[in-house]
Amino acid sequence: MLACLEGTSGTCTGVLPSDTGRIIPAVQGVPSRSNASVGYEFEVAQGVMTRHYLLLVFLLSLGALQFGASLGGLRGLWLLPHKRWNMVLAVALGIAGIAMFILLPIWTSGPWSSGTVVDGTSEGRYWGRASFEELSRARNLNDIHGGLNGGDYGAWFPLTALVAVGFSVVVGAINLRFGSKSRLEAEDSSVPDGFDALASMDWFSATRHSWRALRRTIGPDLRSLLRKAPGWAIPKLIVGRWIDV
Amino acid sequence: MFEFDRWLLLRINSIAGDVPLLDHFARLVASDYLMLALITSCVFGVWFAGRDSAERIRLQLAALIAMASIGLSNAAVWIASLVFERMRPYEELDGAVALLFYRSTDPSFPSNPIAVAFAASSAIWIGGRRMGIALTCLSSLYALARVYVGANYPGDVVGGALIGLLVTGVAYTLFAFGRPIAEVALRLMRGIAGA
Repeated sequence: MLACLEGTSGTCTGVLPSDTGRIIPAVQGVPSRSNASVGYEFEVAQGVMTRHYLLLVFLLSLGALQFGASLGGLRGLWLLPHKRWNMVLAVALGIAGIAMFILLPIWTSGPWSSGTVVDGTSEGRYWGRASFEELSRARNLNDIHGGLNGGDYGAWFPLTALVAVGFSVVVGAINLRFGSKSRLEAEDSSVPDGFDALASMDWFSATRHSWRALRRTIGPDLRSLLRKAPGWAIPKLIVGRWIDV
Repeated sequence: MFEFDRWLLLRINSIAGDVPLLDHFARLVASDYLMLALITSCVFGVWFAGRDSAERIRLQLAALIAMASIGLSNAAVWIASLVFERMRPYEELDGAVALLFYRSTDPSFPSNPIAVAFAASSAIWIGGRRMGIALTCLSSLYALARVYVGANYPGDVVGGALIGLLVTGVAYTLFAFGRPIAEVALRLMRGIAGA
């Protein structure tokens, strides 16, 4: 069966398998970048790719955060109360992220309809689910055919990583409040600040404690950092004229 | 030199299509999404990984340099691609290359994703050797896969890797001359338990 999206121009190519293929209707009022070489709406395809990419980045960055936090002993960010199990979970999250990203085209419809995913091109594809053999090719989409471009990567990665931090902060706080016996109080001034404080308290307590410490020591700390900087460092050359470091 | 580049590409790419399992693996590795997301996630994880204050500051400075290098490498690749408008192997050697990838519309030289991958890996190497080696191995595999699938010439990925190393050197020098700006930023972030 030869199929073509309504509103496209030129000659439509490609076979739409009747069992898996589905052409989504053109959305009224949405500018379409569809052309003769693709059988789907560009914006809808990019939306699917973006959602899957966000899931991949969230699981990967959460796994990396948890692995790093386990190594660094930052218990206030751990998802599980035990270091070893948390490391196992971190690796599992990373593997799950990659596996889900690769396997999702089997279950989710997208610009990878079975039979239209051909080597060496992201053109001529139709909307539907990929077959198992096509999985490694399904995600190879040019950004003009619904893939993500460099700007999308640059924007989505930090935002998703921040969500992973927020998730760890909340779960870590719940863990420490209800699952741990050795919790220090933020009022204890002998406790170090910053990430060091996360070894024994949740992020909310650590921030209160660290903020107080910052206000107390910011002056001497800045002076000390300037003193340690080499004589040719530009900030030291500028600031050193007015401040005795 | 271009002749050698073409010869090497055709040698590496000549195996493409013969071993289906290797083709699937190469396509996944060469993808625009997986390796870059994995490498960038590792840079993100390094931020949290220091076992004590000294190691943490060293790793976090490396992560900051990595972020700056990634930005600089994109700019450097954009400028380089304006100067060298090299065609993709499948455009220049049409029919001779077994293409397992999509037909990109960007110039072939230098390889942007490889520049980004090597910029991140080399910056992390400054903070920790083992992590740096691991990420450099991943980046090298990524570069090899891009040649195997016919998306780039070997010279494109080598050029990308050199750009990545070069911009990391530039970022490192900028951080050194800008001391202690990065350390002050880390001190301020410690005030909200962010470093």
